[in-house]
Amino acid sequence: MAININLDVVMAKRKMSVTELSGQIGLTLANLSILKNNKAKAIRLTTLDSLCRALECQPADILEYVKEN
Amino acid sequence: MKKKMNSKIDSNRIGKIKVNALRIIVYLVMALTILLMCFMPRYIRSNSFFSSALGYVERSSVIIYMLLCCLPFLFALFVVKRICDLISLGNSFSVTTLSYLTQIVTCCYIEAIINVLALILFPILLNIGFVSLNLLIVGICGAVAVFTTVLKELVKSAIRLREENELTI
Repeated sequence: MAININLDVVMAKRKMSVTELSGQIGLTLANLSILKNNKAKAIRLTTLDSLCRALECQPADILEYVKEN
Repeated sequence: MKKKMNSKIDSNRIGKIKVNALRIIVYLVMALTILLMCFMPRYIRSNSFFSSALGYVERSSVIIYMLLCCLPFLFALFVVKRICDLISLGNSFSVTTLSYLTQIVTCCYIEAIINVLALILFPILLNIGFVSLNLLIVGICGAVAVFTTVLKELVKSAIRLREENELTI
């Protein structure tokens, strides 16, 4: 897919573990790992909102558009 | 809210009862078919029409044809029973269901081919009753095959939707 999710980069910047983040935003570890490994097909705005709030960042820091050849 | 939950529990219970009823029907039809497979050869041997019109080899081949007809039907019933098991496990929309539906379609085609071959191979049985029964079976097999193929496409799109829903976070 052309949209990349750089959740691991933002998490590393904030020095936050997956368990900590999942506890803060109320997402299961399985779903968070799907999101982190770029396997998700869609993301709800509410999830994006809670991720941005927990990681204190903008959606653009998490999502990135890469042009495919 | 409570009313909504109650109706959901009720629909689940009704669904389970329906699946169990279907399973019982499948077992009954399987038992009937096996009984038919046991008693049909004896009936054909003792029947006056078959013993007068057909020789030993022809009679045996008619018996083999009838037993062969039962086999795909029994296998399809067994597959339906497996689909019922999958539904009761709550895993109805999976790739396994697709392969089971493909097996049912194949069984339908095999049954139709056996019946068409019987029309060609047993010219001595070509009377109105036998031909109409044979054509009826071929027609039913074709209809079941078409419906099952449509169902397969529906299950395929349902699997795609379910996957998309599961991967929406």
